[in-house]
Amino acid sequence: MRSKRWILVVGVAALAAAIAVAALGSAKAPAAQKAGYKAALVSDVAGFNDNGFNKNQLKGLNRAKSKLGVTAFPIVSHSSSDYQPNYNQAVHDGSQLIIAAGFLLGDTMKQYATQYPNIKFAITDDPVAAVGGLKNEEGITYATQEGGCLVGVLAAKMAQKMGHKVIGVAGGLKIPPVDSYIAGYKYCAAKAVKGTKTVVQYSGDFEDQTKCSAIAQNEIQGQKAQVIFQVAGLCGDGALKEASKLHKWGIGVDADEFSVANRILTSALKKTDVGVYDTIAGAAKGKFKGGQDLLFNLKNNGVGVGKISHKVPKSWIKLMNSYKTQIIKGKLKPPACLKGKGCPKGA
Amino acid sequence: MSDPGPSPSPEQSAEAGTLAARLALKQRAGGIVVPVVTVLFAFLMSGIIIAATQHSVRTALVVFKEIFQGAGLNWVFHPTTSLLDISAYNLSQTLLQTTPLILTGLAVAFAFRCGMFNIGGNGQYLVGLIVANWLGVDLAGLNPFLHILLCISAGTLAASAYAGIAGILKATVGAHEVISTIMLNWIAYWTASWLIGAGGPLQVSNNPTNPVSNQVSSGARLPDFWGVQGFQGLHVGLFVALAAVVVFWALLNRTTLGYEVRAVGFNPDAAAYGGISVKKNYFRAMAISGAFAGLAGTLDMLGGAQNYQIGQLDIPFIQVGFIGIAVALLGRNTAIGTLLGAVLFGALSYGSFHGLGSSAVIDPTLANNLTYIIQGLIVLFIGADVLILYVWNSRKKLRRPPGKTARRAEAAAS
Repeated sequence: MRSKRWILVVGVAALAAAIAVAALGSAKAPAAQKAGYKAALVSDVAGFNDNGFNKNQLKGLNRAKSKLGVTAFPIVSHSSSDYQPNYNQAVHDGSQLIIAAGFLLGDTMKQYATQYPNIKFAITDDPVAAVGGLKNEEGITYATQEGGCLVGVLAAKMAQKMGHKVIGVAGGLKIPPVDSYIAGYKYCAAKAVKGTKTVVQYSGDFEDQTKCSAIAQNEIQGQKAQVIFQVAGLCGDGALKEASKLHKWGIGVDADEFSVANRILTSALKKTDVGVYDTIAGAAKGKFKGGQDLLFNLKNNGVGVGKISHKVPKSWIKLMNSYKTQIIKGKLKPPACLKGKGCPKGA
Repeated sequence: MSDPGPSPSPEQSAEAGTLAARLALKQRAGGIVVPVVTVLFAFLMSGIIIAATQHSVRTALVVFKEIFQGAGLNWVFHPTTSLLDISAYNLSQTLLQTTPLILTGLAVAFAFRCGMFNIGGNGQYLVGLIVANWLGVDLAGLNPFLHILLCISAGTLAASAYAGIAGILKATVGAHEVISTIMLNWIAYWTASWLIGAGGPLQVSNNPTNPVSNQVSSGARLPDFWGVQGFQGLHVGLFVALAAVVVFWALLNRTTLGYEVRAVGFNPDAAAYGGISVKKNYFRAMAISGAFAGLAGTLDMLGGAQNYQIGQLDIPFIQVGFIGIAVALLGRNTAIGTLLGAVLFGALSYGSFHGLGSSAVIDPTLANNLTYIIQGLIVLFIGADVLILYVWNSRKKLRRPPGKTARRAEAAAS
């Protein structure tokens, strides 16, 4: 008696599940049938809901979808073991161009680019030479040291006004795309206000806000930093909030982070949406330059500065703009890496 | 789902004991129905949440379809071994994620059977991972068979010793294993971060700015039996995990050691009265528990789940030790239950992240967050199985005259 009822329960459940699956299985996804260029964008572990780095690339993809009629496949990763299945999915979906949203996907992209020479690949923040000079791959690179330089000017002026010529950085990982921001920031801060000291700490994380908040606290209370530049994605928001709480200033990164905390001086922008959009537009028009890097800088509006606090005097902005003009003209070249192993010259 | 055995099991001898004892009896009495109902209930609840947040019942159904297909479970409708078929590929990835969950589930279950709560599965897994990477890189050129064997056994032993620390602390000074294993998790976490971080001893040698480990040498890699070698295919570690399920069952139900462990787990005082050394068994159970979790780490490293290496950024995403707790709970701390629980969680984990991450059924910016919510709800409701048991039992009490219930529960338990 009892065992019969079990069978009934399990049977009904299985039947319901089977019906649901069968009903849904007949409804095919319409996207697959649409003609036109197919482009996929694979996020890194931060997903598309980070502060801008991945999110803006998704914006670029969506813009390509609406303006160019491209079929877009945004694919979210949540850990590094998702990279392989996500590339497999992009290939399976028939993507003609697969964009990796960051440096972290480099190894996986290389494997797939080697395996599928007829598919085009691109990667944000990783030069072709670093991946291995593949002919079906483009590097989408950003001269972030230029944006870092501009915010460094404002940071140095603010620190000077506040009485201690010390500015801080909360970095994520010590990787080239992070260090280029810091190198420009440090270089121009010391140029704008002689004797400005830059203190740098890395959290080893792009997610956990508490880690970056601890770094900001340490730099502000222990080393008298007056401004904290966050280069750590979502983690760095913790640093911005902590700086505001301690009545110091924060500088956002990648996207415009003016609204993240009360006291945001400005943000160093990396317009990853522009990069992704231009890459797709180029590839869709048959102008894919395999084996080369696309460089986005101040000159072509690929990097820049976000909204500036009204507490910043006009004269500082003028000074910052003079740096901008010099960089665009090629008279000023902020270094792209910090001193140490892996940096070509004595930066 | 009780364990049949020739000797009277220690659980049965103390039926009228503590609350935990009566609960354990009821859980066994619930048999397979309660876990099944729990899972269905959990899916139903998360379906309601999705329907409410997405303002569409249809979306909720599509979400479940995507999870189902994302896990490759639609493979059963058209089985093929060709990995050009996306469902076959996805199924191989689901099984790949199931492999470590079987082992971390067994790890938690083994400690549970000795009355201990091993929350340190994640730390023990990391120890296995790191040791396997270290030996896998450093001993390049060794005979592949020996190399793999050495990496696996060294990683497993190291994790076993690591978990043993918590066992010794409990046995000697009475430090609670929940606290000590959590602390050991953080020690493993930060030690691993340092080892593979910039300038660390295990950091990749050709790029000083990239905080990842070296890849294990090709000789130490486990062969893939389903998939393209090097492309995160399904490796033979799955069979090792399945063998571990048999070992777990035999160890617990067919050896003196297992009998003692279960006796201590059920009632340490009674076990001590019966001449069983409680302290010794705390250590032994913890060390064996750690060995299972460490084995999971070695298999993942040598099997290429993280591309034969581990990055500093990967460490915060390692959750298998914690998911193992849910696996063991759902599996009632039995061998076969843990295996089934691991398959469910492997499919849920891979299917939901991959299915929802690649289908754009829900806004891609929300995909990861919503996936965590669905997984969280399912874990929550699986944890609420006691409630379902209560409802299940009180329903029967209403229907049947009193007096019969106890006898029936007893019958179901045997």
